[in-house]
Amino acid sequence: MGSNLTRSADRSIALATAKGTDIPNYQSTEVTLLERHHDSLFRTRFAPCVQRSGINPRYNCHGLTFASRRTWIPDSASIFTILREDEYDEIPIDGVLAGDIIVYYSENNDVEHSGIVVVPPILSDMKVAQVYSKWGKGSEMIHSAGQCPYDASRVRYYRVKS
Amino acid sequence: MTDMPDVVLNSLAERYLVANTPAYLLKHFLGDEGVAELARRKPTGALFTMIADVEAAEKRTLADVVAAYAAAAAIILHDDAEARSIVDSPYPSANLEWIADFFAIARGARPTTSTGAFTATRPSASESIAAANTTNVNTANVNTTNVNATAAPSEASMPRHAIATSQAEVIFSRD
Repeated sequence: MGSNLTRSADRSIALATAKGTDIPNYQSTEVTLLERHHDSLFRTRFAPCVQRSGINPRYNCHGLTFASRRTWIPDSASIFTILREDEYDEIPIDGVLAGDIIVYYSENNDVEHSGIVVVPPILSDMKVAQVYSKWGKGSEMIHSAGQCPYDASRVRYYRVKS
Repeated sequence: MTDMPDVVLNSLAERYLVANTPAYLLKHFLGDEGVAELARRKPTGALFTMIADVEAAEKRTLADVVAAYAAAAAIILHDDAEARSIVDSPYPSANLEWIADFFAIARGARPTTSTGAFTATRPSASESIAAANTTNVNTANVNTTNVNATAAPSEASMPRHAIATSQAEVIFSRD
C-alpha cells in the first residue's frame, strides 16, 4: 500500500438549497491507482451490479444525487436540510417512480447513502428498486437497493414536491 | 508510517473507499477487529502520534491515511482520561478531514456509554427529519420489509482480499 498521495487540495463550490441555506461541500482530487484496484475488487462482491463509471473522487453519492456530480457532500445534516428546504416528499414504496430519490439511513440516523431510482420496486421482479448511485469516491453503480455496502434496512424514497 | 498488517489495512481501505460520510467510516472502523487489536496494542499517546505523523507528512500513502483514521477510532475505543482529553479537544485538521468528525460523533454518542455508544441513536441536533416522517411509519415499514428481501451480504460473509504489496507500487494520479 505504498502509492503516494499528495496533500489534499480540496476546495468547495457555491451550493445552496432552494431556500438559500449554504450546503458545506468539497471537491476532492485525491485518488490512487491502488484505490482503483480496491474499487474493482470491492464491487465484484456485489454482482450483478453494473458499473457505469470509473472511480472519481470529486463527488460522493450525495453529490451525485443532490448536486449533479459537482462536489462531495459529507454531512448528514446537510441532506436533512436539502430534503426539507428543497421540499422533498416521502413516497410510499408502491408509489415510487423512476427518478425518485432513495436515501439509506443507518441505525444512528446517519444518511450513509443515497441514489436515484431507475426501476421502481413495483416494476421489479423482486419488488426491490434498482438504483444508480455512487459508492464513496469509487464508481457509479447500478444495483438492487439491497446489493451495496450500505445498510439497506432503513431506506426511504423521496420526490421533489410539484 | 504504520505497522498495521496489510490484510487489515486492505480491509479498512475498502471501507474508506466506499464511505460517503464520516459516521459510516467510523461505524465500520469501530466494528473492525483490526482496529480493536490496534487499540489493545497501542496506548493513546502512540495512537495520537500516528495521526500527527500523517498530518505532518508532505506525502502520505493510502495506508498512512487509513491507519490514521484507524488510530482515531482506536483512541475512541480507549476509555481513559487521555483519550477523552483528545476527543474533547478541538481538532483543527487540514489533511485528515474526518478526524474532527470522528471525535465530534464520539462526543455526541458519549452520554449512553463510551465505546458501546455507537449503537445508540445519534443526537437529534442534526435537523432530524424524523418528525416529518412520522406520518409515513407504515411506509417505512413496508420499505424495510421489501428491501430486506435482498439485503446486502453480511460483512462476515464477505471474503477478504489481501492485496500484494507490489500492487501498491503504482504511482498516484490526481485530476
